[in-house]
This record gives sequence, C-alpha cells and structure tokens, in this order.
Amino acid sequence: MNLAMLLDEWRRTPEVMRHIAHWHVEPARIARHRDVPAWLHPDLRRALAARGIRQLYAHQAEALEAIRAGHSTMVVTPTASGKTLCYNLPVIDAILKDEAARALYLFPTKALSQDQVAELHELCGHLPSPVQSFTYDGDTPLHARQRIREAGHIVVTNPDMLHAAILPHHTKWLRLFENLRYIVIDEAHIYRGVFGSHVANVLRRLRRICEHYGSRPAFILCSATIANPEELGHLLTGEAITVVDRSGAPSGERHTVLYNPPLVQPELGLRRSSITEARRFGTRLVREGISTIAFVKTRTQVELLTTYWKADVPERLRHRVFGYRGGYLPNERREIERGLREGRILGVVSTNALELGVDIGSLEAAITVGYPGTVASFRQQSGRAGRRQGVSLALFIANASAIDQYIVQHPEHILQGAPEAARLYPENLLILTDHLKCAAYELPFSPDERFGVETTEELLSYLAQHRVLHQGRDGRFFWMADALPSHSVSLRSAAQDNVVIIDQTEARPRVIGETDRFSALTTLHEEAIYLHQSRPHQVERLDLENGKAYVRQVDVDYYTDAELAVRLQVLDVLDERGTGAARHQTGEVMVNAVPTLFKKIKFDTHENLGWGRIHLPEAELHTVGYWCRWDRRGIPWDNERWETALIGLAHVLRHASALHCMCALSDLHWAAEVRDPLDGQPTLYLYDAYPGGVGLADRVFRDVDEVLSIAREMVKGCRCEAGCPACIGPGRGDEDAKALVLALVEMCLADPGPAQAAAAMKGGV
Amino acid sequence: MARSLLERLAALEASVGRQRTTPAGEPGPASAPGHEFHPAVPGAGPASDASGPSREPADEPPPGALGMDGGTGGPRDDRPQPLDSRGRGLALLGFRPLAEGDSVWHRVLRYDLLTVHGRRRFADLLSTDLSAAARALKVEAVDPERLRFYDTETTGLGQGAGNVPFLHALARVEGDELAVHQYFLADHAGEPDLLSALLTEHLTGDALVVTFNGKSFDWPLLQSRLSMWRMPRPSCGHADLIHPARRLWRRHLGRVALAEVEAGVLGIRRTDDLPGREAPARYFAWLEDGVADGMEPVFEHNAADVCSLAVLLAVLADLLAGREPAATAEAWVALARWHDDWEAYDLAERCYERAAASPDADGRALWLKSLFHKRRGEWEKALALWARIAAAEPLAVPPLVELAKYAEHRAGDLDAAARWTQEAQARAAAQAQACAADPAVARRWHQVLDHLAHRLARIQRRRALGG
Repeated sequence: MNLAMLLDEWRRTPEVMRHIAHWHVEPARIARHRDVPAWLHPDLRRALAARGIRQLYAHQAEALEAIRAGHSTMVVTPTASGKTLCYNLPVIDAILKDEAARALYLFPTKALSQDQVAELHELCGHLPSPVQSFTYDGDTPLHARQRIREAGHIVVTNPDMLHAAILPHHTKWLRLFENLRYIVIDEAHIYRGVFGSHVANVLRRLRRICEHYGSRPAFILCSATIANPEELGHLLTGEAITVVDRSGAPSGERHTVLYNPPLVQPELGLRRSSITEARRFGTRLVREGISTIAFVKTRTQVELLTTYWKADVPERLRHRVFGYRGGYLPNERREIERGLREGRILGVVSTNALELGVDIGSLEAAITVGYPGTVASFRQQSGRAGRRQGVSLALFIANASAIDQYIVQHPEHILQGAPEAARLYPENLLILTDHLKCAAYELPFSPDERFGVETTEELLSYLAQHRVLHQGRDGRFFWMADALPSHSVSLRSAAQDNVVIIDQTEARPRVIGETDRFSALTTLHEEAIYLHQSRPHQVERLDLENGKAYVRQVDVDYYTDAELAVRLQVLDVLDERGTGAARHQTGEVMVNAVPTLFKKIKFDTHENLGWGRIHLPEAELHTVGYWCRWDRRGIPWDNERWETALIGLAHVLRHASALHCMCALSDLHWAAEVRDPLDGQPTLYLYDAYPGGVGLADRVFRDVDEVLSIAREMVKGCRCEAGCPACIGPGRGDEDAKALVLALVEMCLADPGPAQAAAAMKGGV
Repeated sequence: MARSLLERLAALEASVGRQRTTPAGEPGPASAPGHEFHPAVPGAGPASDASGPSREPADEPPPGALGMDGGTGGPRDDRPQPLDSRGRGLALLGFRPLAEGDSVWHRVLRYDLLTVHGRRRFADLLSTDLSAAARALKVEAVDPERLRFYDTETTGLGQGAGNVPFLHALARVEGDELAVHQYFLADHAGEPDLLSALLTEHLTGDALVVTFNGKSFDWPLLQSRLSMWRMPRPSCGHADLIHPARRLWRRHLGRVALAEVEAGVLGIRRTDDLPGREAPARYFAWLEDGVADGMEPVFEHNAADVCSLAVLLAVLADLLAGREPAATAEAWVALARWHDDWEAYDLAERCYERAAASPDADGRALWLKSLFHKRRGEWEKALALWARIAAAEPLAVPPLVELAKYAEHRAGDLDAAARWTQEAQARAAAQAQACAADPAVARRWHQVLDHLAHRLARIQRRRALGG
C-alpha cells in the first residue's frame, strides 16, 4: 500500500479521524524559473548546462543579483529549494574572474560540510580551470593543511575549527584573509542561543582579522524559515542583510496531520502517551514500506521508540530500523545517513540531530512526536518528508503538555503562523569576555576599538588588571599569557568540558558517546540507565573530575529519570516595572542545583518501580532571571492556595515563554517561593539555563504581556475543568487550581501603567 | 543596588569555576602573581663560567642619558614604575633604546674572536673549511661574515598569533669580534620597529641565518610576526643545526637539545642558567613592574644560546671537513653517509672504516659499511663483513640473506645459497619464537620466514633444473 492509499484508509476510519485535530493539504506547487544571468562567467554557465541546469529558480536569481550588488544576503527558503546554488554560483563566478579570490564556507557540523563539498566538487568538475575547494576540520591530515592554507580557493570548515585552529593562526592564512570575498554561512538558523552567541563573537573576530588584512568580505547566509532573518543575520554578522525569501522551487502535495491522542482520564487531562501513538503509526508506515522518520525530544526517547518499532515490525524489516542521535560516534552516524540515502533503511528515530541539512535523501513520512519547541524546527522536521514531487505526510503527534495542546487547538500557529524568531545574545558577559580574550590573542586591541559592545574598553582594562592582557605604551592591549585562550573556550557547551561515556562490557573498553557536564548530573549519575542503540547500560561510576562515565550493558526493563533540587538567590535587580498588585523584575540570580534522587520507570507501562539517591556535588549557576512578585496583602489566599497558584502558573508560563522565545523548554527553568526569602512575598522565577544568561528571561520581561496572554490562552483553552497536566502541570488535585492560576494571570494583565506603556514602546524599536 | 559590569563579570567567572581570568589549565586560586617569579639574584653574574665569554658592553651608558621619556606621550601615569627607572635598569645592563621611543632596546655584547668558549675559539669559524658543513646544511657556500646566529625568547609555545618573541639575539662576526646583538621588546607596541631593525640591519638578502631547531620554531614564528605587521619576509638563507646534530649524536646524547649538545659535545658548562621555560613568566613580571634585574638571566641565557651556536657550527664544520676526528661510531657513520650521498666514496669508505674500527662499533656500523661496499660492487669487502657480522651476532638474519643472494645471483653457487638460506631460516624461527609474546613483532618474523621459504624453494627449483 502506498502512502496516498494509506491516507485514504485513515480518512475512511472514524477511530483515527476522531482524534485528528486538523488535516491540512497543501497542493503541489510548480516552479517559477528565471534565466541564468548573462553576467555569470561563461565557463560556469557551461558547467551548469552540463549538469542539466538551464534555468534557475526565481529565488536563486534574486539572490545572485543581491550578492552581485555587494549586499550581504540571506536566503530563507524551504528544504530542498536549491539554496546551495545561491552561494556556490557567486563564489565560483568570483574565483573564475579573479584567481586570487577566496571564500570561506561555514557549516555547523562536519557531516554537513562533507555533503556540501561533494556537491561543490561535482559542479567544479565541469569547469575547465580548477577551482580548489577543501574541507579543513579536525580530520584534515597535517600534511594537507599547508596546501589548503595556500591554494584553497574555497575553505570549508565549521565554527569550532575557525575558532580554535584558523583565527589564532591567522598569519598562516595570509592569502585567505587578504583575498576573502565571501563568507558563506549555511544553516544559519542553528546559530541561536548559546551556540549562536558564541558564533556571533567568533565572526566578530573573523571580521577584525579581515579588516587587519584589508579585505571586506560579504556574507551569504542560508537559513530555514524563521521570523527574523534580517535580525538574525545582522546579529550574527554585524552587517545589514538583504533577505531573499520567496521560493521559486516546486513542491509535491503534502499532508500535514495534527493528531491528539485520546484522553484516557479526562478529569486529569491524561492522554494516551504520544510515544505509544508514534509506535503505532510508525510501525504501520514502515510495515507498508513507506520510508519514515520520527523526531522525538530526548536521546532516551530515541532509544525507546527504536526498541518499540524493532519489536513491532515484521522480522524481515527489523534490520531496516535504526535510531540516530548525538552521542553516537561519527562512523555509526555516517553509516545510517548512507543507509537512508540509499533506501536501505526504512525507519529511523532521531533527535533533532537529523533536522539539519544532513543529506539523507527524501523520505515519505515525517512524524513529529511532541512539539519540538519552534515552528521553524517543526517545519524543518516535516520538511524531511517529501521534496520536489510525490505525496508526503507530516504527522504531528501531540503530547499532553500545555504547548502541544495549545498547538492542536491553534493549528494555524504551525501551519500559517509566522515562524518564531531565532534569538541569540552575543553580549552574554561570559561569552563575550571569552572571545575578547581570544581576539586579543589574535590582534592587539586599540583602546577605542569596539568589540560588539560599548563597554569594550572597560572589559579590556578588567582583563589587564587580571594580568591576562597588557596595556602597551601606545594604549593598545596585548595578550600576555603563555597559553592559547581558544583552547579553554568551547562553542558548544557551557563553560565546561564534556563527559565521555565508556562501555566496559567487553574486555576492551570503548567510548560509545558523550554528553555535557550539566546533563551528566541527571543522566549519568551512578545507577542511571543509559540507553545506546536501545540497549540499556548501567552507569557504574561517574568521574566528573576527569570527565568519564563508566557503563556496562545490563538486561533491565526500566529506565531512570532524575530530579534536581534548586535554590535561588537574587544578586542584582537590573530593571523593573509594574506598581500595582504585581511587580515584574529582571536581574541576575544565582541558582544552586543538586540532583537528589532518581526514579526507575518501567518500559511500556511507564510505572514507577522504585527510586534511589544521587550523591553528586551541587552545581552553581549565575544567570539572568525574570520574576514576578505579588503583594500578598492584596490577595487573601492561604499559603496552600498561593503554592498551588504559583506552581501552576510557573508551569504554564514556562511553556508560554519557550513558545514565545523560540527556545527549548529546557533552556528556561523556573522556581516558585510562597514567601520569598528577600521580602516574604509570593514570587515566581524564570531563568536562563546558561551562565550569564542568553537573553530569554530578559525577553520574557520585556514582552511579559504577550507571554502572559499566551499563558492565559493555554489555560483557558484547555478542556479540563480544574486544571490538568496539559495546562497547569501535574498539580495536587486542588479543585480551584485552574481558577487560582487564571486569577493570578489576570491580575498581572490588568495591571495598568508602565507595563503597557513599555509594550507600546517596544513596537517602535 | 546594581553592581558594576566588572563586579558582575568577576562573580560570573567565579561561578563557572574560573578563579581568575587566566586560561584554563592553570589551576589554583587567585594569588598575587607576578612577584613569585622574582629571583633573588643580587648582581647576577654572566651565565657562562670563567672559560666562557664575559660581557663587555661596548660603552658604559652614562646614567644621566636616560631622560628619553620626555615627549612621547601616551597613558603612562598608571605605570607601576616611572619610565626612567625602567629605562635605567635596562641601561645598566648595557641596553640603549632603539631609535626614538623606548619600546625597543638594543645592546651589543662584543667578544674578541680569540675568546675561548667551551673547547673552541670563535675565531675557528674563520679558519675552518665551511664548505662541507654548507652541503650538510643544504645551503650555498657559507661565508663567515654573513652568518647570523639567531635565537629568540617568546611569551609562549606554538605558532599562534598571540605568541610574541620578546627577545631576539643575533650573533655575527664583525671585524675581529663576535658581536651579539640583542633586541628587547620592552613594550609590545615597538614590535614593528624591532622587526624592521632585524630586517635592515641583519637579515639582509645575502645573510645566512643559523639556528638550533629554528626551522620548526623561531623562524616560522618570525615569518608569522612579519605577516602580522604586514612586513616583507626576508629572503636570506636559513640553516638549522639541529638536523646534523641529530644525525651525529642522537644515540650518544639521548636527547638532542642545545643544552645536551653543549654539555656532551661542545664542552660548555653553564652555571646559574635560567631554564628557557621560565622566560615568559620573567617577561610578564617585567611588563608589570619594570624591574630589569628579573630579566637579566633571560638576557644572559639568550646570549649564551647564540654563542653556543657559533661554536657548534665550528665543530660541525671541522668534523665534516675531516679536521677533527669523530668520537663515536655513530658520528663516523653519519659522516660516512654524508660523503656517500655526495659521491665522495673514498672519504665515505674511510669514515666507514673508522666507524667499524671504533671501540663502540656495533653491528649497525658494519652493516651500513657492507651495504656501502655492495652498492659499489666491492663484493670481497662486503662478503667479509657479512660473514663477520653473522659470526658476531648469532641471531642476525640480514647478513645471511645477503650471503644467500650473492651465492645465488653472483657466484652461481646454489648449494651455498641454500645453506645460507637454511641457516637464516633457523635464526628467524628462533627469533619468532622468542618474540611470540609480542604479536606484532612475531608477525614480522613470520613474514621474514615466508620470504625465506620462498627463496629456498626457488633455489631448490633452480638446483633441480640446473642439475
């Protein structure tokens, strides 16, 4: 049975249709073409013709003209719309016209760059004169590096390599930096949050070095659909950005189906687990021979769902089902990607690791299990199914959370609604300072030089006081330490190193994955079950000091889930508003977290089998928070009611904030105090889960009315009566919970004065 | 109450486990760095001992001539020490500011060419025949007047753009003196001036730079600094003495670093020498406090390095020119192989003879000599050596293989060839058994055994055919 027939079957099955909240069909769209511009070098036009390309899509032509006019340009069109040509053509054209010209390509991961280089080579293979492109990453052999530095017209690398290997050694890359014409940044939407904030600073360093060598490259960015391409491009590159976003590429008929699992306990708002439903739908699709990818949120879920699919599909298909996630080693991942491209693999369960443009060919069905946090991310995931022709299916399976329930009730949010904005915060003090050190190592700073922020000189003086820099007689700041600063700065994680996971099952221990330190507290504590390719491993020892976790394969039928105990303290109030019953504030907070205990949860039934204690040191986090304080004199509730209301609101506000700020739920944490130690008032905190903050809490503070409105809709729109896990979280059975939470929200929203004035002002900024 | 930006930063850094802003990898809480580096060297003397050169600044600077800090301006008020005291410290060590400004300081230490350093005089450079050394160093003819012995002290390791050479030493022959020019970067801002002085005064087109390990460190770092300041690269030649030194003395010295070469070959003993790795800390302390005394051992160390280079070149030249006998079989073999490469077969043979006759001669010397004879077609000599090695080393397989090859292909004596091969098989089998515990080595021996079996089969086939 093919996909179109299966979809027909579903339409005719009431038991399925009953739980489908929305079924949207987007008809096939034909291409809009433009001629290949006559100004392109004739060799390049011939090479295109040799590849069978006689016309360009409209957006490609548009991008070419913008780039030719010297604008830094960002192309924002759907998956498989031919974005790669938008940068390859101008770059190759420039090199054909001036042999000295150079370009730098940045991809967020090594895997992506390998795919793109293969495509670039193919195009260049049709050229009569050589255009040299090379990948420069950790795998590049030492003997090849010299040649790449001298002769590579196009150097393909990733931000980490640029940060740690290229920029600190810029004098060896003289030719590149003197002649750099284009900097290409693909998958630009990945550069948000902490990683984006790092990368924006790396690009500041890159621009500084180009300036030193007298080049002024233009940026060409490509991105999945996001709301603020211009802003993202500008924050990343520091340049004004021309956006090209009207796709001329064709697409096949696609069905977007929003499925809301049935309620199993209406009063509590409990629904059938989304994983269980994904198990059922996925197995069916794979059994029909329909290539299917499922996106789940966590690594544990990858293992869980893979196990289920393997168990349920017929024996003959079992070896064609795989899990895929970060933490697998590169070879294993390459092998799975190849299997998908070649059609050998029929079903794959992945975290968002496969959201990126890793070339896995085009699949027929994509299942998104639980809202991935952003519209852009959802569209990336569903874009994995169906490319230029043929029917495709994007199936969204909601879970019981507030966000997911909001989505199924407001399908327009993911179907038509503008995708969210990609946020980054290059001014994070810690990140900025780290890169300021790296930049000073690379080139001395003039006291009047600006590195992103106006306070540059203040920071430089601070570093000079700490004997990291030395201010010379001419006032310039020079690096003054015998170490390479970039070695202690990782772009990917917080300020610390990763923990590698070592399997000791065999006589010869081997590394099977890695994770960041903060996650290690809750996933690699002793006795934790760590799943790898659906095989449970038990953690025997966690050596945080040396960054190693030792695991051994075990045969158990449960997984573990750890809890964190959190203490929070306000260090500094940076801004506040609201004078009435509720006061909103933002500022710096210190959070102390310690993992306390873990639960053992049975596969399949998800019942709790027991628990254990975790003995690990406390982790401390300095970050930025938003909080709201209520004057308890105005509201005559007892402590218990306050607690119910605060915890309920915290739950929904966190979801609403994640939705609004386009971040993962785990990027924002919350805490609630019925009597805050500071002034005894009921207080609700949201804070960024990264040292120094990444602008999320700050954004919640600025847009608090919008966020509160979403929260109110989430609660009001929920069909439960007294509050349920979907809207205000797993409460304690208080019958007034929902009303209490709504009362709190209304109180904030009704609060007149500065809040609204500020909201109005924000429109003009 | 809002905290200042810097208070926030300090708290933030502390919270992620960075006690201070220095890069990771340097554990330990914030102490008062800087002063712990200060040596207690009251009036530190020259680094080398009495037999070495003594420092003779060309002219003692009058202390009054130090008022050069007048008009250059700049944010000086917050310097820990007033400029003139910084300058005075350097002046007392014989440094003078280079051109205007006081960021770069220069001094010349002049040594009479007759000065004895280790077991040589600098004058030997002029009297020896440098042509063989030039060949070994793969440079064109070496003119003593054009030699520039060069060494640097840097703020760190590696070739990154933030690693700054803060002290450069260049030793050269000037008239009847060896002049050691030292350029000290008292302030980073002066680096372009310093580099330009190096380029115009010393690294001219006809110069030959001589270093020890400079090919992989000092020289590329200098190129990197020039690139950084957008200055032209020098076109002069470069010879790195570490390569011939390794060939001559690797076994003898164990580790071929300049200090080992000095002690083991040149007869130079340093006293109170500052380990090179401590130089950056001294320099950072200088930038902080401007006390030149702390730098003095660095200056001495740096000057002593280039003086040693001059002696090292003289010794190398004499060895290669045959004016000084080598001390070990290893060195004789090295010499023999150079001459062999240069097709000076008589010299090569004599060196091999000396290597073989050397009291410490091992199988390797004899073996290399035998191969030399084989290449030359001097079969008698080669055969004698193979027999000798085979007798001396009861487990040596290669000489037997060579004997077998000769018997089979040259002498046409298939019986002898079979005998040698069988003997080789017996030895290889014994070796394989002895190495059974190490699979990788054992595997190699089994490969050898396969080859030998193949050889023997062929010999026997030919014997059967030939009758």
